[in-house]
Amino acid sequence: MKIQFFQKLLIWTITSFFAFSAWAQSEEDISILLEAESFQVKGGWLVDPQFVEQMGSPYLIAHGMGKPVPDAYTSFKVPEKGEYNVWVRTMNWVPGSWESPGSFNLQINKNTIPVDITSTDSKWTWLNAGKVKLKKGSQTLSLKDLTGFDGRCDAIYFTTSAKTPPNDLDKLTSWRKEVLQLPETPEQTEEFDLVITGGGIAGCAAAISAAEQGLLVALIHDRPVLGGNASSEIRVHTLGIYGHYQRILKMIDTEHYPNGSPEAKKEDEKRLANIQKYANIKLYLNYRAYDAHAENGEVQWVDASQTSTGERMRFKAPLFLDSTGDGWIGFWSGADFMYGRESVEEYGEEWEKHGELWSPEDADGFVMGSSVLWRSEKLDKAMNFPKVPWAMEVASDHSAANGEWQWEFSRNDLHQVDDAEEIRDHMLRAIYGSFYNEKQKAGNDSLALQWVSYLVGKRESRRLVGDHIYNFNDVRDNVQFPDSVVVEEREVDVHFQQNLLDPSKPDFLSKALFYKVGRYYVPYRSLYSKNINNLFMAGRCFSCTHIGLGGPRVMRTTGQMGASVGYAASICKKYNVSPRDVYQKHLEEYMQIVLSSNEHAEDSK
Amino acid sequence: MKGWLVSGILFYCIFFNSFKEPEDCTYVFDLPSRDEAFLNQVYFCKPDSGDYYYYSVITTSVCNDENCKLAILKVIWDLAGNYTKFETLPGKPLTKNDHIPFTITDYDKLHSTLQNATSILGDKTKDELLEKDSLKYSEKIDGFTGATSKEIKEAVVDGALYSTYTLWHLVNGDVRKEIRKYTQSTYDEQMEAQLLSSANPRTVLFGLKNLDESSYPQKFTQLVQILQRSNPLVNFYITKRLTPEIFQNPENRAAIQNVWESLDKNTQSILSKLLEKPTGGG
Repeated sequence: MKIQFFQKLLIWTITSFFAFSAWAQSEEDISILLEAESFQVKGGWLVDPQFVEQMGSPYLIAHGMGKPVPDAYTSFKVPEKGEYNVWVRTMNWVPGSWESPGSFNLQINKNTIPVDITSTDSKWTWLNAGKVKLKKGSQTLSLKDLTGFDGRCDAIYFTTSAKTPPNDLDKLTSWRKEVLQLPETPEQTEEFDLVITGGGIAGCAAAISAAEQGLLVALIHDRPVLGGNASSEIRVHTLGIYGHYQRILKMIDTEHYPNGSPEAKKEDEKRLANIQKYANIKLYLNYRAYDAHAENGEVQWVDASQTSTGERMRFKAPLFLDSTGDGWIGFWSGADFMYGRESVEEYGEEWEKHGELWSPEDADGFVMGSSVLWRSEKLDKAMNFPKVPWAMEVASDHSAANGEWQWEFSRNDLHQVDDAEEIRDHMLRAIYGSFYNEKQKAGNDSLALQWVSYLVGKRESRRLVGDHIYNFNDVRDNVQFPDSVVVEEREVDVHFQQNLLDPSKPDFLSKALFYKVGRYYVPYRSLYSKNINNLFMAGRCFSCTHIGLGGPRVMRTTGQMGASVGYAASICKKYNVSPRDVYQKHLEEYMQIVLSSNEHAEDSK
Repeated sequence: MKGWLVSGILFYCIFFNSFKEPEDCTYVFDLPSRDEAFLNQVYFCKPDSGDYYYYSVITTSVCNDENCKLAILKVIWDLAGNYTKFETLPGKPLTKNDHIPFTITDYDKLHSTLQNATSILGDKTKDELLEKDSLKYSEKIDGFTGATSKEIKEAVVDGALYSTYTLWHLVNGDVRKEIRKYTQSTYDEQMEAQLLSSANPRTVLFGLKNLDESSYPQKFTQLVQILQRSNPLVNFYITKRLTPEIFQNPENRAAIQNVWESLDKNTQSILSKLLEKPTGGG
C-alpha cells in the first residue's frame, strides 16, 4: 500500500519565469498537491465522489452526525526545505453568523494550523491557511474534524509560489491535470463485450443476464457497495413486481423493511455474493466514470477513475449500458436527453383532478426530488446533541426522530444533477434541525442519531431519449407492445413538495399522487438510445417523460429493465447488430429469451 | 325496492316542476345522478349584486348493496365549477343510519369533504369503500360497521358513507368540466375579476389559465395581490410566466419588495432570480 501510495504521491515541481518581476527575475517554485481522498488513513472521514462533475474531485467529508470524527492522515515528502504557502480546497456549507458547522484544522508534523472557513461563501474554493516552514523529507499531515457536522476537504496544496491556485472549475481541471502530470488517456485499457456503468439494481440485473448469456461484462460502480438507492448507504427498499425476471431479481433486491432500515446491509452482502458468482462479471467497485466518447454515433470508450487513488481506467466494448441514473454516459457521448416536467400538451398527460400539480401547462424543472434517509434510536444512557443554529432556518419548528421517503427536496430553480450537493446539504440541515427539536422534548434524553445518509437518493434526473418515449398514455391505456419487456402493476407514483399546497409545511417534505391503473408495460424501444447506436439505458434514465417515470421508477421495475437489456446485448453480440436491430430484426428470438428468463440455466457462473 | 324507487322518482319530478328558479338565473345543462335515475337542472345566476354562481337542486339515490334512499340538496358552484356550498330544502334533511337526520357536525363534515376536490373518495370505486378482507355490511341503510379503511372513515360523515360518496362524485365530477365550458363561452371582464379574486386557489388558477400572458404587465398589481394571498402552486404558475422585462419597471420591483416577507419560499426563490435578489442561506 505504501509503495503504491508513494507512486501516487502528487509532487509537482514547476519552474516559473517572471521576466519582469521586481523580486524574482528567475525563481524555481516547488509545489505539492495532496488529494484528501488519497490520504493513507481516512480515519472517520468518508470519501464523497457524488459531486465530481460540479466541483471537480472526490473529497473527504467528516460525517459524524454531530460528533467529531477521528483524524484522517497521510505522510508526504518535501523535496526541498523552505517556507510554503498552504492552500486548502474546501467550502463552508452553511455560511452565516454562526460558528461554521464544517470547521476543521490541519495538523502538520503535530503543529496545528486552523482553517478559517467562516469567511468563505458556499462555493468550493482554495483557502489560504498561511505559511509553514517545512524541512526536506517525510512529513505528516492530519485533518482534524472539530464538529462532526460534515466539514469537507478536497485537497491541500503546498507551494513556494505566491500564486493562488485556480478556482474556476475548467481552469482547475486543466491545472490539476498539469500538476498531477496526467496523460491525456488513462494508463490502462480493458476490453469487454458490454460495459455497464452504474451498479444500482438495473446495472446489477443487466450484468447477471448478460453474463448468463456468456458475455464478458464490466460493472463499474462508484461506491464500495452495490445496489444504488437500495444499498445500505441509501436504504430504499425495492418495490414493484418481478415481471419475467424473478430468478435474477431475487438475487439483488431487498425485503420490504422500512426505508432507512439497517437490514439493508444483509441485502448488500447477498447482492455482492450473487454478482461475484459470475466469473465473467468484472466488478469495478469505487470506480467513477468521468468521461465517455462517441464517434460516428457510437460510444467508443468510458473512462473511470478510482475514487480514492485516482487511478484511471479506459473501458472499451462494442456495447454500453448507461445505468448511472443521471444519464452520464449518454450525456458525455452526445445522446439526446430530457430533463424536467413536460407541458401537459406535449404528450397529452393531463389528470384533471390534480391539474398543474400533476402536469403543468408550461414545461418546467420542478421534478421529483432527492431523499436523504435517516434514523435515530434510544440508547441506555443520556446522549448530548449540540445546538445547530445553522440548521434552523430550514428545519424551523419541525421535529422528527427519523426520515422516510417523504424527506425529499426539489425546487424549480434547483437541478437534481447540477445542484445535488446543495440539495444534499439542505436535507442535512433539515435532518439535524428537526432532530435537535425532537431532542428538546421530554423523555428524549437518550435519543441519538443512529444513521444519517450522506448520499442523495435521487428519484429523477436526466432521461435519455430512445426510439419510444414512455409516457402517461402508455400507462393509462395499458398499452401492450410487441416488445413489452417490462411489466408493472404498482400505481403511478409522482411526488410533489408539500409546501406547494400548504406554505406552512417544511420545504423538505413531499407527498405522493397515486394513479391506479392495473398492469402496464414498458417496451424495449425505451431502453436504447435514439441517436447513439450502441448505447442502452436502464434505471431512472430510461426513455420516458416525467409522468412516464412515475410508475417504473421503483427498483424491481428498473431491475426488469436491466435484465432485459442484458439479454438484448447477447442478441447484439450473437448477430453483431445494434440494439435497434434487436427490435427490428430479431424480436422473436429476443422475446423468447426474455419470456423464458426464469428457466435459463445459470451455466456461466 | 325498485317500485319504491320509481315512486320516488315520480314524486321528485313533480317536486322539481314546482321548484322556481330565481329570475336572474338561466338553465344551462342537466346533471344526471350517478345511476341516471334523475336529471338535475343546473342554472347559471347573475345576481345584480354579489358573485355569479351556478346551482342545482340535486336529487340522487343513495344505495348500498341492499337498499336505496333519496337525498336532495341544493348545491352551489363558482364560475370555475368548484363546489362552494350546499343548502338543505325545508323538510328534507339528509339522513344517515336508520334515517337519523344529520347533525350540524355532520353537515359541516359533508361541507368540508365536498370542498376537497382531491378527496380519496375520488380514487375509489363504490366496491372499494369497504375493505374486502373484513366485509361487514350494515343492515342499516348507508351504515358501515368498522369495515372501511381509516382514511375513508376520515373522509366521510360518520354513518353516511354512501351519501357522502355519492354526493362527492356528483358535486366534484363531470359537472366541473361542463360549468367551465359554459363560463368560457360567456366569458367577460367581471368573470375574470371574480375568478382572480377568489379565495379558492383552484378557481384562481382557472382564471389565470384564461388570462393571456401578454396582459401580465397591465395586470401586474392584481397578480401581486394573488401572489400575496394564494398558495405556492398558483404562485408558481404566475412566476413561471413573469419575465425579467416586467421588473425593469421600478414600480413593479417595488410592488414585489413590499410583499416580499409574505411570500412563500418557492415564490421567493424564483422571483429572486428575476429580480437578481439573493435568497439568503439554504
